[in-house]
Amino acid sequence: MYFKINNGCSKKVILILTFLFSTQVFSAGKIFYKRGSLTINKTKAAKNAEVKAGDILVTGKNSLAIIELNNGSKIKLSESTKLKLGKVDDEKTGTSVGLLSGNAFFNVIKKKLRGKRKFNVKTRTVSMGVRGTEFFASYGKGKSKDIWMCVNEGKVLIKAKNEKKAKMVNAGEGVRVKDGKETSKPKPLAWTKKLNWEMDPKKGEVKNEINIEAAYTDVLDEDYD
Amino acid sequence: MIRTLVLFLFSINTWAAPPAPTALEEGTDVNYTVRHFHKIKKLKIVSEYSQIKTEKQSDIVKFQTGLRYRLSKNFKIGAYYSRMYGNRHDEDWIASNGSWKWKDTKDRGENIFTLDLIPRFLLKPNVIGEFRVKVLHNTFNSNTTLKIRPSLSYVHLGNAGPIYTASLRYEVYIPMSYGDKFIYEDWAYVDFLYHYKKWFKPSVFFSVGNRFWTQTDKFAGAPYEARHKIKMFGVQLIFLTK
Repeated sequence: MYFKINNGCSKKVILILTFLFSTQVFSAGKIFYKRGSLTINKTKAAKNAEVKAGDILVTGKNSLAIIELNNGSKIKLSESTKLKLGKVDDEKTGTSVGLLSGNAFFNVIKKKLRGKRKFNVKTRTVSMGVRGTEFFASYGKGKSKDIWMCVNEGKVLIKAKNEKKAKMVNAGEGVRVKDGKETSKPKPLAWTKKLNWEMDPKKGEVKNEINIEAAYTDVLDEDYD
Repeated sequence: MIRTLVLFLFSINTWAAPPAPTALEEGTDVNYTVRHFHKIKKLKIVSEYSQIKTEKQSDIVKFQTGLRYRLSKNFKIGAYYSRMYGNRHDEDWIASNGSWKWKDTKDRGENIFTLDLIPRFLLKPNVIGEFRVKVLHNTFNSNTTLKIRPSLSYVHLGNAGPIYTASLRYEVYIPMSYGDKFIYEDWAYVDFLYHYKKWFKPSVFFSVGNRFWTQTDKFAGAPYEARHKIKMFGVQLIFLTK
């Protein structure tokens, strides 16, 4: 496209076009739903705010946010969660998300992932690769370095940094990566049955009430007689 | 003539077979227990005070302390010492002033040492099967008892952990060194525990039991077996510290 540059009005047009072009290039999605407090790069964010690659999103206490990515996938951040958005639909790396603290639900639309592109969720020590699925990932309670992950639909490949082989976790199963080092055998986890997977506020309550504390209940140690 | 008759009747009474205890003491007992667990990694230090207020005999009081250690995910072992008052045994059926009755044992202290093995398995995500085996040795009369207790428990989980536990238990007492019956005593329990706080869990239970009294060597009469049926309600206050 060719524009004849004149002073005044034309410069404003160029600025507006440059701005629109830049947001279109780097925009990865938008805030689909928000409750309570949410910041993007430490700045307060509202519903429909754009998110882009590299953004760090943080929800406050008693808050939640749902991000809808351009590829149709959704991410629901629970309260007190910090997440970094990496590249979305990159030619080489696909979509990449970093879960820095707290927990989040991921709903990945397989048919909208172009070509063989993957959707990867990473923590400091663990990598989770999905190809169209719905799963939940969480840090452990308190200062624990544990990572918990369970799958509602589809499959997830999970591998800790120092592990040689990834483990496949199927729908209905969950794992614990103790101290971020060793992944447990995938199996159904009782506490995950009550997780709230809803991503559409029009269909029902989206807030998840399950506290990660419930994951640490060792029922075999609950003997008091 | 009358004098002879009186003497004759008196001698019959003296030399007649001594009576066996009858099931006169059927009643409802109430058990109050305060129990504390202090957890240090895999070890729990247990302390307990319990009192059974009985309907037909003196109260039974127990002080207990001990250790419970988790050997593995599914196995625990324990060792305990108890001091009890008000216990009753076969040999407490005594003749006194021409009549037979149960000896008052409320002030008699007895030392009991217990070892137990507690295997627990997850049958379903929140359902636990347990098969507890205990051996108790009472130094007062050298009685050794084997107690076997299978149970089923359901732990109801909430958003942040367990909310309540409901249990069904059945316990049999097998005398190893006394008594004539294979099963000396048996109980069926239903128990409900509420996980009010991490450090405090109250519970209530109801149980029905049978206790069989048999003669000892000192009993001069014919062998007997007297069954004592008991109902018991219990309230337990359980405290936990780490």
